Amino acid sequence: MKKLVLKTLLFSVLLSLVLVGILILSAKEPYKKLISVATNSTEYGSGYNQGACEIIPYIYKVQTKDAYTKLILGDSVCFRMFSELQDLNKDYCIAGTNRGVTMAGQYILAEQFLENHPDATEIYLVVIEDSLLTDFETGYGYQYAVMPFIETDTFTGIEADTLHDLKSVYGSFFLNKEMVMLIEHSDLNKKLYYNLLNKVNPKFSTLEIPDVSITYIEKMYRLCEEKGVTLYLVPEPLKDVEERRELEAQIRTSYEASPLYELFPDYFEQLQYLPPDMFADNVHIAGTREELNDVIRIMQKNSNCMKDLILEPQN
Amino acid sequence: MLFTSLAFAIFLPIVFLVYYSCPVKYRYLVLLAASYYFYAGFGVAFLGVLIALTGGTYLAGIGIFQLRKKEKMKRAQFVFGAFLFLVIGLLFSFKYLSFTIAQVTGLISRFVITMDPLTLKIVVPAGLSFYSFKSISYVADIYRKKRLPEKNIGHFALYLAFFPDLVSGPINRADHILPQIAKKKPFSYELAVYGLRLMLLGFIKKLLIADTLAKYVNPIFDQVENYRGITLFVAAILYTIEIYCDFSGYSDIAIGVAKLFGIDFVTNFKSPYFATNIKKFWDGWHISLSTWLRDYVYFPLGGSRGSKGKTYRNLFITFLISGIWHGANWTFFLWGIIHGVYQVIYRVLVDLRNKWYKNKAVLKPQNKFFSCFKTIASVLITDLFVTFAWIFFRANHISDAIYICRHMFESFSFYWLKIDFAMTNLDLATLGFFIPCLFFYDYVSTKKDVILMMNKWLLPIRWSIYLVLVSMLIVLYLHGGTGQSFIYFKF
Repeated sequence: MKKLVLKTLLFSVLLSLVLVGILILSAKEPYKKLISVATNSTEYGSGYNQGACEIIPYIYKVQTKDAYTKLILGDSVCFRMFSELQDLNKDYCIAGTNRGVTMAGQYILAEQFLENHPDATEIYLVVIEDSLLTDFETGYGYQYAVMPFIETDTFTGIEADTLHDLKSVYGSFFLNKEMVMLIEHSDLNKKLYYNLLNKVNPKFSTLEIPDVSITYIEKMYRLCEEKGVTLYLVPEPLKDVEERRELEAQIRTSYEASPLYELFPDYFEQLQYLPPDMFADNVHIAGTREELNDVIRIMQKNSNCMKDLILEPQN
Repeated sequence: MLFTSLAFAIFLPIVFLVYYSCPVKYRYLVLLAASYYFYAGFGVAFLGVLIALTGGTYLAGIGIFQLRKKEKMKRAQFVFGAFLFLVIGLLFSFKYLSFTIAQVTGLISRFVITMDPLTLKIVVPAGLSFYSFKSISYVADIYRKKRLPEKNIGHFALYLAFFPDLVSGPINRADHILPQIAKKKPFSYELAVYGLRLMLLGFIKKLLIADTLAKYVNPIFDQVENYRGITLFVAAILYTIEIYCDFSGYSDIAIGVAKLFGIDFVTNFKSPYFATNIKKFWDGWHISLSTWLRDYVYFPLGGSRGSKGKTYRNLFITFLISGIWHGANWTFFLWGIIHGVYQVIYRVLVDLRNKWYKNKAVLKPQNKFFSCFKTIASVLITDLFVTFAWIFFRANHISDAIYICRHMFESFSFYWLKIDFAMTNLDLATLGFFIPCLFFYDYVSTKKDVILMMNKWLLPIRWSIYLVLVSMLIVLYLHGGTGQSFIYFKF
């Protein structure tokens, strides 16, 4: 019996070494692709599983020292509406990304921008109400809210409480840079880790505004105040359907009970409902550049900001 | 809890360690508790059926024994009849009632009055066909004075519920298992290692071959009307390999797991696809069911003791019952009929051959080449007949099976074969390597115990093979190719 147990343990150790070797090799060329195919993980190397690759260019963008004085941050709706306008605007740094980065991620982007742009005057946080609800989730949270910031060493300004929250959702072992890089560069490791997260510790956003949103919007507000920069919280238009109006009522209640209401009391007052046929899905606005510009004009009018944002090429 | 699940990978080592940490006389209780826990995983209500059947069988065994002892034959016969009625009734109500009602209402609606065929949704307790057969054979053996009833209800309950053979066999007999449970054997390193090797073989058959094949075979059998020609022919051949790897893989794992606890199960497969005739095929395929049917259906019907006509009839009925046992579907019924016909034809041919040889005084010696050619041809012809029958076994409806038979020789376009199967290079490589290896293993197994032979290999070679194979299994597990349940779970 003892012999079998000892041999089994020894075999398990050897097997673990082989498996760890496979996990490490799966992040290295030339084995990367082979292991990805062999483990049916190729889908983790594309599409929605490329969160970090999607965010990192924006981190570098806000870090670059240039002449921008205004910053537009936001979610994927913001990205859809504003990103094409970057070439027309020399004052605005347009960095609409994804709601998955959470408000902690938006704060880091703002912080990095202010650090590298001493002449900054305004920051616009353009988000749909759903983005205010985004917490550290097991779905896309890790790849949007953790990986890009750890990979670029920009996680330094994060609060101890937030770090604790992150550890409880993602595990402290997976918050060190080596692990993040091992996951980022391997489709197999992504598949294993994301599935493990969903199985072991599933966590999703609720209809209550989470601490991470309150803490980091407040933090962003104080930072801007300290640097003499004005922070605007700008709502995006909503789809005019019954369910959305019911959802808005619930989120509004949670918002009004939070400290955010004191900082931005008219966020919900600026809300604009648009006909459902203007939307590609439940939140993203569809249409030509001209139609999107019309929506932006409505937002400019309602929020009374971003007035100098250039929407059309000027002759 | 599937043998291929992560839950089982945790469950088994825990049970193993607890089992051997316990004093010898209480070990069977550990296995009994583990078996009930294992079975409750399929549904707690099913556990009630198993426990009720255990109690009923135990009492019926003692009751029949006492009545026979007191020479009250009629009463013993009555109790045995009632027991059979109840167990077969239980099996029928769970497995066939819904099917029977649907067929009857279908017939009424066709010929008498228009009505929607009535369908009942009855969930069959996992493994009911297997453990009900175990209980029938136990009581039948007592009735036929072949064994004494088991006194220790714990031992008996463990015989019926022992988790490795609970849901998909092999159908072990009481006289084979109960003495092993009572014997309280000490731990055997050799047996445990043999068991682990057998488990590894089972996992390779199931995960690397059967599940990979299932990915390509299932879509074809599920929508046969979209395919024709060589695609259907190849699908039938691949299913022949799939079902063997799936079921014999399960049996290997079950036998291997039992060996870890010092219990020897009966062999369930002996290289069936190397059989040179249909009788030999059944000597090597699902042996525990074949021998059960032989002992409790074929022999009671009269076996081969009567006239040739009666022997053929008995053979046919036995295989028909085998088909029905597999499930409530006309396809299984027809599969049973086909094998019944095969057996009868084979028997007729053997009788004719014996008669012919009797009239020839001297047999001509055959040369080696001819003998080898004859063996290969016999194996291939037997496999072809078996494959033909598997089409009916696998098809979702008889009409699908007929469609396959009518269209599989229509056109032999390799272009469509490539398009229809669209195998990935990885799957092609896996199957291309492991299927020949499996057949080589099976061929050698007809002469030697390959697993025992491994003891002679150098330790580094052995361990390197284990490491490569286990790593491959884990990588494949990550591939997501393990979602397939075992085919015999539904029986």
